[in-house]
Amino acid sequence: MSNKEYQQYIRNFSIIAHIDHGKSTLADRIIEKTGLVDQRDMKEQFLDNMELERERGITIKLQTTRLLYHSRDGHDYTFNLIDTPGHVDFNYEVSRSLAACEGAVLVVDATQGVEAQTLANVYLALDEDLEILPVLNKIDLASARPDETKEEIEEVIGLDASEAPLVSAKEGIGIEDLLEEVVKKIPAPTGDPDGKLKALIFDSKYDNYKGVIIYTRIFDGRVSKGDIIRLMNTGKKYEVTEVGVCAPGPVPADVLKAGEVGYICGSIKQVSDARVGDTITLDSAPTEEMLPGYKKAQSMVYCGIYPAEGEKYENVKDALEKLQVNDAAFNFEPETSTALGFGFRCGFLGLLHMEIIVERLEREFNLGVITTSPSVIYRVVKSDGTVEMIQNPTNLPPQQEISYIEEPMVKADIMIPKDYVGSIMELCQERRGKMIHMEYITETRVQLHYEMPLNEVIYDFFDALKSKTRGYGSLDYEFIRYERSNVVKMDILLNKDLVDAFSMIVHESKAYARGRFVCEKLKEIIPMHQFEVPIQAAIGQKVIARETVKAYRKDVIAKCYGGDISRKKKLLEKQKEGKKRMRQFGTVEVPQEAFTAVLKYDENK
Amino acid sequence: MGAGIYIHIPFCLQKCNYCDFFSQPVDKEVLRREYTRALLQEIVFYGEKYGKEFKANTIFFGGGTPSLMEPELLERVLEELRKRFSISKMAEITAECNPATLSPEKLKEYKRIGINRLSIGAQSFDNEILKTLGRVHNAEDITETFKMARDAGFDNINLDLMFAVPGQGVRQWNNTLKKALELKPEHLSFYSLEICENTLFGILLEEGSLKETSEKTDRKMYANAINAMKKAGYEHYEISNAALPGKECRHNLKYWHFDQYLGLGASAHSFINGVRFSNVRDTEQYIMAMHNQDISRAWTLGSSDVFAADCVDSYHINTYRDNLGEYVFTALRTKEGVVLSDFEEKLKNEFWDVYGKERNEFEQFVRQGFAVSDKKHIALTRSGIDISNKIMSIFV
Repeated sequence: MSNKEYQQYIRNFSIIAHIDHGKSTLADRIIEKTGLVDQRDMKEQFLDNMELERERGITIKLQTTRLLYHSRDGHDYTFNLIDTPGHVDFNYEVSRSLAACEGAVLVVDATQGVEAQTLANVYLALDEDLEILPVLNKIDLASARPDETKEEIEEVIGLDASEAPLVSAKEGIGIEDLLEEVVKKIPAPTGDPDGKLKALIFDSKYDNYKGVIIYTRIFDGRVSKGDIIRLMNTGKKYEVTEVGVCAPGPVPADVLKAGEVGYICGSIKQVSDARVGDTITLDSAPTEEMLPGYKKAQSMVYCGIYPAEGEKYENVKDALEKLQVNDAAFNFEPETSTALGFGFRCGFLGLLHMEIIVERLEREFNLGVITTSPSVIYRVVKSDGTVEMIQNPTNLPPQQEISYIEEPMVKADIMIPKDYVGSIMELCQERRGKMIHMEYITETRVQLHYEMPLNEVIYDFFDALKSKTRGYGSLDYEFIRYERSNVVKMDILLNKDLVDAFSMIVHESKAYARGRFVCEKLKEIIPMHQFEVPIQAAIGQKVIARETVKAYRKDVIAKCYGGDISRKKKLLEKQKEGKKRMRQFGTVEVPQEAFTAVLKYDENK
Repeated sequence: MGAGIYIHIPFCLQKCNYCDFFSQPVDKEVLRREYTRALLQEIVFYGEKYGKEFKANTIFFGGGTPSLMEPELLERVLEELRKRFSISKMAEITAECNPATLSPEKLKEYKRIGINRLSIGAQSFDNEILKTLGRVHNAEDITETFKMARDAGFDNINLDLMFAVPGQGVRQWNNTLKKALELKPEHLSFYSLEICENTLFGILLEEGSLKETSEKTDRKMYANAINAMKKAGYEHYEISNAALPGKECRHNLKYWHFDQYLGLGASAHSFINGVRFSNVRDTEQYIMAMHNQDISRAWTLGSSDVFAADCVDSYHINTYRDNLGEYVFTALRTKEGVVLSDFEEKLKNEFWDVYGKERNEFEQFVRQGFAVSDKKHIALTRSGIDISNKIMSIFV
């Protein structure tokens, strides 16, 4: 065997799809067919390994796994299947995992046809020069229309779909044909195993025993235990303590060579030290050129996270530290709030990222937390010429000290079917977007290019886009610059007391609507007290919205019949439990969900 | 202190629109006989288990509609109870009954077999409201039944009344109160209608075709009831109950006084030796379980307090924490509230030692006038009753 022959029998690929087109189910079937996991042990959606992911049906943290396939041509092939996360917050992670592959299996639901995310993902894959192998899924359904879908793939994406395998991941139909196509169509990796080491970090996670595990694709050269590696962007050096392949659990190996996918451990303490996109090389013989596309993780959205029970502060801190170790894009520092006490200001990629962290705190660490309104970072230019970066509304200097405020702007690329252009332009306009450009990608698909304040994107723009386009819209955005803006701080008062945790920075034109919305929402959520509770939204001294929670009259169980007190007791226990989830602000009790509920902006209101 | 015995009679002429209790519309005599036989078997079982050590001074036939039962069937049950347990000669023996299900002869028989208290499901003296509720009787039937009962010699009668019925106005309720008081019953129960899921009312409410009475009206009706009853000399001794002095329902008090009670029949609940358990909510299944009785099997199950495994619906051994919460929230339903010395006697700890952490929260309600607290007891005030759940939940 020549020194590169082994590469002929490797195929590195991802599966890409529009949400719900069956990506995870297909991955399950492929894993089953290649005999990696006993059918018995097979949990649905094998690659989505966080409980949360399985529940939400989305992949947050990607996973890679090595599979062995005995092809009809008589050879055994090693497949490295690299799963990709599926949300705009994690687009960068998607692009890096695609960069580790030679090809991508593009799953298209034969009942739905090509959709927005299909396209968005195809473009990401094309950016990485991947061979794209279209597959039609769900052909077992009566509503499947494979011929039309093929036509659509050819017309809209410009891929030859005539030989696209017809599969049903659910029923296990056509999976072998697909695997044969993978062997035939997806190119084997290339690269010089004797060259200088050049490897891509496409994922990393923290392991209690091994430290950070780097998931990597070797492009050139080789790496083994004992090598001193250098991460080219951070410049940090580590001694390799273990290399191996993912099956999907780590299986140690002697060496990883050009074309292979596997993991490297080297006593690395934090995943942020091994950032996705970085290039690994050997310290003794470094490569001259880095792999393209490295981006530093940048928190775009900030919010306060507070323990629901004050005494749990240390537990929350421990949990955040553990999460940070595993999530390069997440950071935090201590802060205090007069309403909520001691807590943390945390930075996230986006709103979904924030929701995930909060849910993980609650589920994996069993901690109740309160989150405050998310905020972007404002650039405050003061009258004396100094500049402050503010990511917590409470820290905004007094009005008289401020000369002007700048807010971050993003370039938002939105892809939608043409029928929705009107409603999405309306949405963007309402979100203070400026249209830069609009283009027809195909006869039926349009791409809109907008400049928009990030503040308007983070709340729930993505959700609104999805619901207005029935799931067909897709969004990508990146920061471009700071721009002067007329934003103000809006406070919320409960029974005349300011609750700083509800304060938010909003554009002046939106303040009234937002204030009204928050007051209405709080009115729904705050339970009746023995007295009336006025809820007010105010800018400075000026009240811009007001609602009142009426005093209650009745909270009594009329009867306990026949000695069956269990139901009544449950009710009382539930009430007591509910009270634990309440936060006392002065005389007013506020359920914790109030803090998240005021963030969800309902368009129809 | 004696225990109470509750016997559930699950039969009704028809299901009322609001009813969430276990009952079924049945008029077959054979089923009533089968059911009685099952009850007797259950009594034999507990008789062997607890024997004459089990002292009871109240018996309560609840339902459903116990007055649909032939007197001789109830007599058999009472005879068996007296044979197996120590039933006080002075025991309060109540039968729930619905207007228009009784005759002078039947009442005379009830009296003869030892029933000495009647609880009449009057609900309302307004025929429109009775129709809304889905009751089979009308206002005239109540008066007639009541008089019949008096004539038969019953000198301890309760009327059940219901308010906050959809469509019911305050004046209509006042009128019902007036009519009820005119009959001078010894005892009055007055319940705010609770709309439960899986009842016709619950379904209509879900659909939006039923309008719930506002809380404001509900509380107005409740206040009117208490005022009217107090004026007529009744003592408001429990959230939903008032009685002439000395005529409190001794059986129901057991529920609020953390006393023991044995529940017999389908869906009946028991609280004995610190265990809460209940029978299946299904007449056929209950009868089957009793007929296929395998007492030896039940016994070999060990400490099983219950008749047969397939008869058990729930079985819970109370923890000390359970006992505390239950004691307090049931006691707070009564006028005297938690009597601290009784608490200490039954739960072996001083009240404020156990609830030191909760004291502050409770005192807030005292300051706001919703509760009272002194060296001897803690209790809810009249305004505290309206928000009783909030206060009780402090202690569970």
